[in-house]
Amino acid sequence: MGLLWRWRVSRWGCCGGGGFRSRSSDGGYRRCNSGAGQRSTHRGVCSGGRRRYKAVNGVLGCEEEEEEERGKGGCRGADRMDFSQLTDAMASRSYDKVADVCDQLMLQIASQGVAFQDEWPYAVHLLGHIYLNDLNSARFLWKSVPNSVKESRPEVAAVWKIGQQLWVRNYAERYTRRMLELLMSAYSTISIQDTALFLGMNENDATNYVMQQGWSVDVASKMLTVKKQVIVTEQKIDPSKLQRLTEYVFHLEH
Amino acid sequence: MNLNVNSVDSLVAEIQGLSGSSQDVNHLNNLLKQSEDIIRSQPTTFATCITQLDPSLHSLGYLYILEACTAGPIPEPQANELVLSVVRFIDVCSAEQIRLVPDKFISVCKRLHEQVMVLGAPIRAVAPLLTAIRKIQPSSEHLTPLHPDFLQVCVSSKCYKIGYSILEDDIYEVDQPRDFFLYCYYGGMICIGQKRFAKALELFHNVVTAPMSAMNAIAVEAYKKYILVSLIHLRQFSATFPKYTSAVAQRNLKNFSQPYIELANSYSTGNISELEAFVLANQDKFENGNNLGLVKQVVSSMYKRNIQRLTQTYLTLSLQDIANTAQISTAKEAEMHVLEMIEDGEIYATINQKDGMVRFLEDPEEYKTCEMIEHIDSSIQRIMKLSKKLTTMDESMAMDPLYLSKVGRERQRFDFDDFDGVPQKFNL
Repeated sequence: MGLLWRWRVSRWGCCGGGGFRSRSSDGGYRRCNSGAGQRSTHRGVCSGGRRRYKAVNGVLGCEEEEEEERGKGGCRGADRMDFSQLTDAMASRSYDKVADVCDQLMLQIASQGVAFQDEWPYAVHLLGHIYLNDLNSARFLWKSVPNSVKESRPEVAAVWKIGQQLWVRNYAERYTRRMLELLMSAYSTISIQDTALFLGMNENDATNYVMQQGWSVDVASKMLTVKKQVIVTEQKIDPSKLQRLTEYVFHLEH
Repeated sequence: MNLNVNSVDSLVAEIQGLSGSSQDVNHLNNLLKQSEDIIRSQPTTFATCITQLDPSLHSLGYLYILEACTAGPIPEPQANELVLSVVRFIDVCSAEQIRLVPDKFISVCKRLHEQVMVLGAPIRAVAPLLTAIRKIQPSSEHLTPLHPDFLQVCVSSKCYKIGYSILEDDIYEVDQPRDFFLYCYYGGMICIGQKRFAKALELFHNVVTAPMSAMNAIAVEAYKKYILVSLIHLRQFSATFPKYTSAVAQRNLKNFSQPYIELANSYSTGNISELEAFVLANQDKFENGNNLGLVKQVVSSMYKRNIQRLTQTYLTLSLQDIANTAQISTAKEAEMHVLEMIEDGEIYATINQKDGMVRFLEDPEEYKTCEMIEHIDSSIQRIMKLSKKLTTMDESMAMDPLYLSKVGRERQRFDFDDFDGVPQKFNL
């Protein structure tokens, strides 16, 4: 399941990210001329370079073909986008950071007046929010995607659709676990069919999975009896709490 | 003409020379104040000189010129360039220098807001306005005139998450009531988007109960949303105002939001079909107020309200009975509502699918875990901080000469009355 997830991220990373690559004619190193005579040199330079380097080394070999193909399109916006933080986050598999990195980057680029919408990796950005279960932010991002992009880049719409689906039945392991905990707290008995639906598995897998958690099955009625989880947490009181209490009493009396 | 060119050049030279120590900068500020008319009279000449200044070093002088250049009407082709230079200035300017003339800085930022709206790209101002707030703010407890602008561009560009980040600061210092009203109103809208209804309620409540001497549109709109959010979040609405609400608000707000008051009345009966009929009949009113989405959330929250009330009466109840009493069409649908409510921690219950029954439980919290102690602890800390703050405010008010003179006058009058009254009582 985890694999599937990663595959999706990288896959959409490469289709959605026309903006990931800055084409460079001079061996992957280029100075960015960012509007209005700003003196700084963008780090986007290096990211473009590094990306190419990796591709040459075959690390991202599978994407190379597509890159050439897409390379023909204009990259005006991409020239000024620095995706090094995003690629770093992806490379280190810190998917929880993707949403924040994208948010910040988008605002920063927007403030420089770059028409970023056509090149923006909306798919990855959406997935970043979905990964954190932050469907509100995903929804508002989707609402801000220009219609032209929604039409020209079907993968963005596909991610959003799957995002909606994931909310109902997510295949990722974290979600299964979360769902299981909910079922354990909410039900005493539940049908096999519903359990399978909630966990996003077929009935056999679902039965096996919950039996491992100690549930029991009544074959005749096709019902599962839920085994409640007993959570034992260690209870320790810090002696400094006593000090705090003293302070509270002191505060009340003065 | 020659004289003008000289004065321009010399002014630029002064700016370059006097941007070092804080003493120099103060001196420069006086000079610039005196030359303000000259700068304002020929913004174009100065606009060309601005390239000789470094916005990060000569922030004060740069700001004077930038403000003069942006004061007049801006032709549309130049809007983009203007936005770029203001954004760059906000990014690199020295906070110390711009705080000498906060009004100028704020008016430049307001122009930025205006221009990105003209360009149809509110998102361009989100990050710069946040930076601007942080630079002009003496502390995170101060509300600046830029807070409403920032929240408004966040709403327009759908950047709710970053907008919410600023609402986490507690505000204690407010200069202009209007800023506060708008801050709470836009802030409330952002909280609704993020489904933080409790916080939204707090913000709208602040608008409704804030001191006001005349009715204003912001308070009316906030009151409408307050009613709706209260129904969604608390599943009830109390039409009585707290004592500290201004008399104007108490007298007028309800008249301006009649359909919303009626909606709340209809909600309290618990009859869903009646509520739906009322919403349908008044749909255009809610749509005109841009509140239809919220009204729909109110309607769907009613199922949950009805289920919640059942938990107060029954220990166990069949799903079919829940569906019947809460006016839900099928038992399966009722089950889904119950499940959602369990997930959100709104009720404590277990569903038994085999028998089609729901058992309602007590809140399992026994207030004896370390986690809970931590939670209570941090609440106490927060309250203590707040009470200290209140004491300081009380003390500073007690020492305020304006306040004292007013109280003094009133007391004198009372004393006079008292003396007058006492003998009369004895006469009786």
